[in-house]
Amino acid sequence: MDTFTSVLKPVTKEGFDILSSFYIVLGVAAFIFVIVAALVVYAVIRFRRRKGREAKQFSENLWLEVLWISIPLLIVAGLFIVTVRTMSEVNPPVLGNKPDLTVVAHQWWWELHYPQSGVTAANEIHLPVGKHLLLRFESADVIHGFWVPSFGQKIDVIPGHPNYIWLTITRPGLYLGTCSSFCGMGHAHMRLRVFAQSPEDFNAWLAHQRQPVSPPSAVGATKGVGVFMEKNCVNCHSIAGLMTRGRAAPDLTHVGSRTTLAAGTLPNTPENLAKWLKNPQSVKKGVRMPDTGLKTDQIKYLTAYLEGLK
Amino acid sequence: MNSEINTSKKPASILGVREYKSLLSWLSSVDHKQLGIMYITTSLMFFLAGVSMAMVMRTQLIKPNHHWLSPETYNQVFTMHGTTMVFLAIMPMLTGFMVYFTPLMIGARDVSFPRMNALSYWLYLMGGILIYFSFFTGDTLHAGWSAYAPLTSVNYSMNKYLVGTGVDYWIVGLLLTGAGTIMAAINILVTVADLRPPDMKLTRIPLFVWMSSINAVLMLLALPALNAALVMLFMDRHLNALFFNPAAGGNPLLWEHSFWFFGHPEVYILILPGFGIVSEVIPVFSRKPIFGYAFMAAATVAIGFLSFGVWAHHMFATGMNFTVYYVFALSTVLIAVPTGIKIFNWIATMWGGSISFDTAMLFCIAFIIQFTIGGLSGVVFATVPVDWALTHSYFVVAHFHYTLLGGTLFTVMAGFYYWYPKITGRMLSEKLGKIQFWLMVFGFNGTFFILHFAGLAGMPRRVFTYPDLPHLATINLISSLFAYVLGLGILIFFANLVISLFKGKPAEDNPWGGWTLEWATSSPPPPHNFDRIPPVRSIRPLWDLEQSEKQPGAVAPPSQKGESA
Amino acid sequence: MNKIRLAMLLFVASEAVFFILLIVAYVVYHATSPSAADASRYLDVPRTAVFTACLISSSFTMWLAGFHFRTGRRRPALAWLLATMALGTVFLAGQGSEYVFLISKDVIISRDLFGTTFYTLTGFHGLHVFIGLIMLGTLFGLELKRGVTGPPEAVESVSIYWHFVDAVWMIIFPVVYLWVLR
Repeated sequence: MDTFTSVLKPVTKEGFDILSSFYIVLGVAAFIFVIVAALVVYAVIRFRRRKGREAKQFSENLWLEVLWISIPLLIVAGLFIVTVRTMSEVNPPVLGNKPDLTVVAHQWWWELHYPQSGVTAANEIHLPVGKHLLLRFESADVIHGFWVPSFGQKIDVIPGHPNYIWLTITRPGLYLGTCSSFCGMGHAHMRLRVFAQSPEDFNAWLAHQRQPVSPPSAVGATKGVGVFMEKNCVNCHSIAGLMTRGRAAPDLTHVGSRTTLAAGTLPNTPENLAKWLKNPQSVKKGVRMPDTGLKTDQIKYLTAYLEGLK
Repeated sequence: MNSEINTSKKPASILGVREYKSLLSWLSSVDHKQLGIMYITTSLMFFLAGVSMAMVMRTQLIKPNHHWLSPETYNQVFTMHGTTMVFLAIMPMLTGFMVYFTPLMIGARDVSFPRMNALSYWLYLMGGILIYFSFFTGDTLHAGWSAYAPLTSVNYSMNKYLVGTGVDYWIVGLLLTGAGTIMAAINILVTVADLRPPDMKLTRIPLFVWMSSINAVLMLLALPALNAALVMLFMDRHLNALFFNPAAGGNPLLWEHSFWFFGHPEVYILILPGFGIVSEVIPVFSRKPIFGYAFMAAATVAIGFLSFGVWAHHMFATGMNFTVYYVFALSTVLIAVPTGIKIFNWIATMWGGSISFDTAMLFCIAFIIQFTIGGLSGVVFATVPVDWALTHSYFVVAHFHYTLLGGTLFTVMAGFYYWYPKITGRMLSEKLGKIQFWLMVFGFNGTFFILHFAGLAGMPRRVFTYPDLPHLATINLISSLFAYVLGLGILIFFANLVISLFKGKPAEDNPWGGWTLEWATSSPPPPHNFDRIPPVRSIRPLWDLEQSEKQPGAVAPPSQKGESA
Repeated sequence: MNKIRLAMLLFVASEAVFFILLIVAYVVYHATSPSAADASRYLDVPRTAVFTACLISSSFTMWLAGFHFRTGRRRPALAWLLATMALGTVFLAGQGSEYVFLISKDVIISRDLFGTTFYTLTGFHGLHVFIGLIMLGTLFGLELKRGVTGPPEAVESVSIYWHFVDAVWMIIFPVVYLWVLR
């Protein structure tokens, strides 16, 4: 699967619009820079101190001043027009539209809700390509930022102040992103993975997510359920089909099918999950999950259970 | 050339000035020259601390998934790097130059309120020490120099993984330094208004004095906004106020608006005196007057006004309504125009001149090119949708280091090489200066140009480490290696400062052939500054004097006792 | 143009910015917060109007004091200065008693945004009045003891500060007290 992370390689219609504006302003900037640099280089060579040549004592010229006031004014007016046009193309008003995905940012993970289908998930986002999607952002605590560079724009996620962006993803793939507003100790480990899929694949994923899990059959996994309940994990983490109580931590209903753990911090393997369960702080310092004091065999059973939640 | 004007006995260097020999004379000083030196020296110490932090940061970022520093430590370091550089290093260094040279350049004996001048300095020092004291508590502010609420407004002092008491040291320390800054601003403005000689009209004051005055207006009106924001933050933290508490209807954006209403003029405060320095150095080393004096002064006034009208361009990604964005996008692109005027006027000053490449001039030339890059990357951000893509990324880090380091710091270096002889009576070593210059040019551009690409490649700011995604490892490695080169250049600068104090060639009154009044007295000046000042008929009194000496009778002889009532 | 007067004008400009930010915070939250309706129940506008009148008069008495200082009439100058201080103190006492009343009704900083912004804005204003009283007291004491308050500009500058503090209240009173009457 292709992975993209760069602003220069957009995969959304909005990202392409932004990139065009970028190239325009970059072009203008390069043009001005070349002029300034050339003038400076020429001046220091041509007018360096030499015997027999005195400095000419001129120090004003009204027309030159008018020239280098009016030309920049025209240039910046042009840039302003580009700005206004692109802004409304990229982010038209929300009006009464309902979001396709609501993202609630927490220190340091992403809570996901698909309002139209009632699916709740965490950290790894799936979206269909080819549709004009509306995403809504809320924060549960401090200011965060949602940024997938190849999507073009980012948006700050501010508590008490929901924000929206529009996205039209043009090709399937895995797009990586990150929290873009400093939000505390775990900021560098609050990453985003967005799986853009064809509408059919996306609907299949949603349907699967909608299903609650069934009780496990394997022995280790069954014991894992016991550990999960005994250790009160459910006070923070919900598992649809088992018990949904806590919302303070990522929903774990289909955690086994995610590609990473801890908001993109670790690849999702049994070894990594065990490492996490043993000591979350050593993986992602500052995380709200306390050291649960799990013993080795408890970790084994819990891992077996959680990895089975596909 | 001008030593007949000054009849005081000239000391060999500042170390030999009788009035400055005892420690008590410094601790109790109300002499603007001593205070200027104290400002500059103290700020150099904080600058060294800030540079060390920068080296530590670049070392942590030298490779992906690097766990040399914990996120806690790194977050404290980047916060204190920013806070130190802005509040404790660069702003006081510029204030030091303003305090030292404004009275001299207008032929005055001191500032209007010498005791308040001293109070400003001591408030700065005390505030700085208080902020640094937080290192001893193990809980320095670690939320960035902009300390956004509600991350900082909730008193999580019981949970050290969130934001603890470091914020409080930061708040109180900044309230102290802020008070000092406001007082310094009042002092500068009253001095320039009140202590000029009768023939020094406002159209004849040096551009450094123009820029310092406008800068003082910015300091006067921007720092109170910071104080208001800090007060609100302190109240949220300790009196359970609700300013930034979303659950109670408070709005985190109120912090952003208040902080940036201060913060944007602040960055102009950090550059205007530098513009002033460059406007003094370039003419002297090109041997012609500054081009477009009136436009330079007017452009600076325009920048001063506009700087209070652009603050929300730091908030383009916060989801406010488009009308607000249109207004601020417009004001932001507009402010590029007067800045551009200056660049062209400086180039026109060099044009047709006779340029000598002393270190001070080298720093000015590099400044013009580097500041242009910084200004242009700023214009990129003024294009709102592009800002949506690139804000909060390393593209911003590159932009503001181009303006603050490639811009301000280079002007400060020019100021040092130009004025060190006047302050200390010794010349800085030009040899070391040129080595420093080239190390800094290569080091600075190597470190920061490539960081524009880190932003484009998707690297956010304020992260203690980053994943091994395409290009990020290479970019960061190159940046860190060049950072060490830059650090070396800065170390050489410090060496030059110290060595030259003892071993530098003794400086004459006017080693560079300057034309403004500070060159009409000895190096260093006597405590009372001037015995006499020449008549002021234009922006270049010493040039006029020189011309009149070539044609006697053309200009009146020097006036008695340079002070005005 | 006089240096002390200029310095005070500049200082006042700087304090004005500080107050503008606090006023903006009050206005924004008052306009958008549900607790705004609450406020009208507890603020006693007529009572505060009386204290406001005291503060306004104190500007007038300050002007009179300045006039007499300038013309060298020591006793009337001191008398009007004292009157100014008395009116200022009455204003502060009124403010203080209002705080006591509000706190007894559980209107505190942490109660809601009205509490937060009200106490901050009026509190800092009160602090500035208090500092003004100290400055007035200093002038009074100096003149009483040594017969010299310093250069004539000193009285003029303190006067500028006092008028500024009054002017700020001229904005706070309608914004906080009159607005709730709607």
